[in-house]
Amino acid sequence: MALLSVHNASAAPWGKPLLSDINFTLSAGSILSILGPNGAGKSTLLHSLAGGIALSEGQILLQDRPVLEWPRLARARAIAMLSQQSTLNFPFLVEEVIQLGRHPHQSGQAEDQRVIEEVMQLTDTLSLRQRLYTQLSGGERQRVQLARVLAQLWRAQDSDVRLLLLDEPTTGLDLEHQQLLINSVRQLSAQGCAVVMVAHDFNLAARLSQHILVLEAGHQSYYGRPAEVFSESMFRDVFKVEVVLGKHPVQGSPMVVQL
Amino acid sequence: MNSSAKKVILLLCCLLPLSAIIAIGSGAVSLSASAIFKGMQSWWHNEPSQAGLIIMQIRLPRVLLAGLVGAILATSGAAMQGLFRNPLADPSLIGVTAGASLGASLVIVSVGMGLQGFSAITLVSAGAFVGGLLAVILVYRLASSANGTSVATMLLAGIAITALTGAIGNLLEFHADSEVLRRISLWRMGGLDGADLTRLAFAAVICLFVLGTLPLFAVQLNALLLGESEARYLGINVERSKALLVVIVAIGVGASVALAGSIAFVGLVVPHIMRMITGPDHRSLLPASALAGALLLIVADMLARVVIAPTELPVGIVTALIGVPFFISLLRQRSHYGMQ
Repeated sequence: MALLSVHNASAAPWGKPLLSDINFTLSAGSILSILGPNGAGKSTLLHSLAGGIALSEGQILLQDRPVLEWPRLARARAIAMLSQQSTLNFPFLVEEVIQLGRHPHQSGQAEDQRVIEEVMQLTDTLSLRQRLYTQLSGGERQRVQLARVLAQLWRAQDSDVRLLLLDEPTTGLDLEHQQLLINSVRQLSAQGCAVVMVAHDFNLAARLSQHILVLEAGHQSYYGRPAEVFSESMFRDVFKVEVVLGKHPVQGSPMVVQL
Repeated sequence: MNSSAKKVILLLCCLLPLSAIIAIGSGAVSLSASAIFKGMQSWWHNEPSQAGLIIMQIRLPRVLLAGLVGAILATSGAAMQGLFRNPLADPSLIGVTAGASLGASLVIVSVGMGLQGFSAITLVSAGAFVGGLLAVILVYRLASSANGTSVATMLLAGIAITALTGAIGNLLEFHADSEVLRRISLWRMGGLDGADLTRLAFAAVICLFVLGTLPLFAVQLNALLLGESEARYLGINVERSKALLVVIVAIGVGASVALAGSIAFVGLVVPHIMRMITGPDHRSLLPASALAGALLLIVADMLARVVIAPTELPVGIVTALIGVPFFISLLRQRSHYGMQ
């Protein structure tokens, strides 16, 4: 059964249509990457999935129930979203920011603390815990926000369905921390959490995800497995670049080299 | 709540009664702590004494009113800064106080001389509340976008509202007869010298309301600092929290304007200092601000009474003298606060 299903979804939050006729389904534990040029509607799609933007047409069903009809707290236990940029400019401690991720849960302070230690370990933020968020670098902030979002979805027993939404999660991360991110995403998906990720790194998307959705000016122009979607003509049509496609030497997933 | 925040709150709880005793003791007639105690004792036993009269009729109501108004203003300021996600949001800077002043003036002019006592204060406060509420809503609408609030727009909107309400206020005064004019200008100068039981009771009710309701939104305010959509994805009912917060703050600021005129900068300076000490977590920031706001206004009012005694300065002048240098230093270090 599909955990998330999107039927004919269209959205026009500010009058102008930003998304039209999006269709896909996502099963528990699978990872979908959304690719597309700037302004194609990738973030709008993520916000719609999270219930932050109402659709003008169509439906987004999380476990057969429209996502906007979920009770607020139950939805917050089921869906967590890492946004592109955070507006936090008050000097919270790193640990306090991550603790906010446990707000929808009533799992008790000791359990929350255990979750927080685990996600801090995974995102390599343990050494930052007593630092002020406002004094961190861009990549460090990204890791803290990632830890907060992971803390929100961490325990399988908190919700029957779990959906993690990531908007360009690797922005500002060095290679080591990109790998940590990949590990955490894989770990969550292995426990049945579905993941939708907006990415600009094609190779990362191909390595990590079972399905790829390509958005172009709000339309869904390609959808399928990475090997089906990635083609030289697709990159020429959508991204206006010439590429050579190869194979990942270890994992066998498609690899893209820009000419 | 972390341990340093607890210590700060405990310290403020000790300093507050101390400052109240010093403030009761100082003035045209200085009273020692034991004299204060004796005076209160004799008043309690209905024995006439000069000290008892001074304390119970003049100083104690005034000190209590200063504390209540200070607590209301500082807590409202802290909540407003959280709501705007901006440490510069102060009721007096963004036109809320000016809007409340105009609302109160309108009530004074239209009701005229008819009302006295509790009903007069309630009516004037209602006018101030409506004026303040309209101003908050206008500023919030103008300054908010998906990416948070813009400081520049917020301050410019505040200037516009202050100018507009000033012009309308002048127009009112131009047409008012001399008795109403006197009442408006007396009221506008504000100050805490009019403290009596009626005002005190009203201030206590509003203070209990503001201090009782705003801390219920502490977690919501914390989450809102992440951004509105982030707060929504954490399961916060953002629209409802915002609307209720705006109304509570408008009630608090409106009432304090009606009680004591416009007292600038308490709502800006106090939450700021407290945030530096306890951190931005509203669960400790709101109570700490309430205590420190009460402390600051009690001390400022005491200074206003004694600096050039027997003449009294309006307390707003003292808070502005403390607040403006602080505000300028904030502007100079604005990059620390992530402001553009």
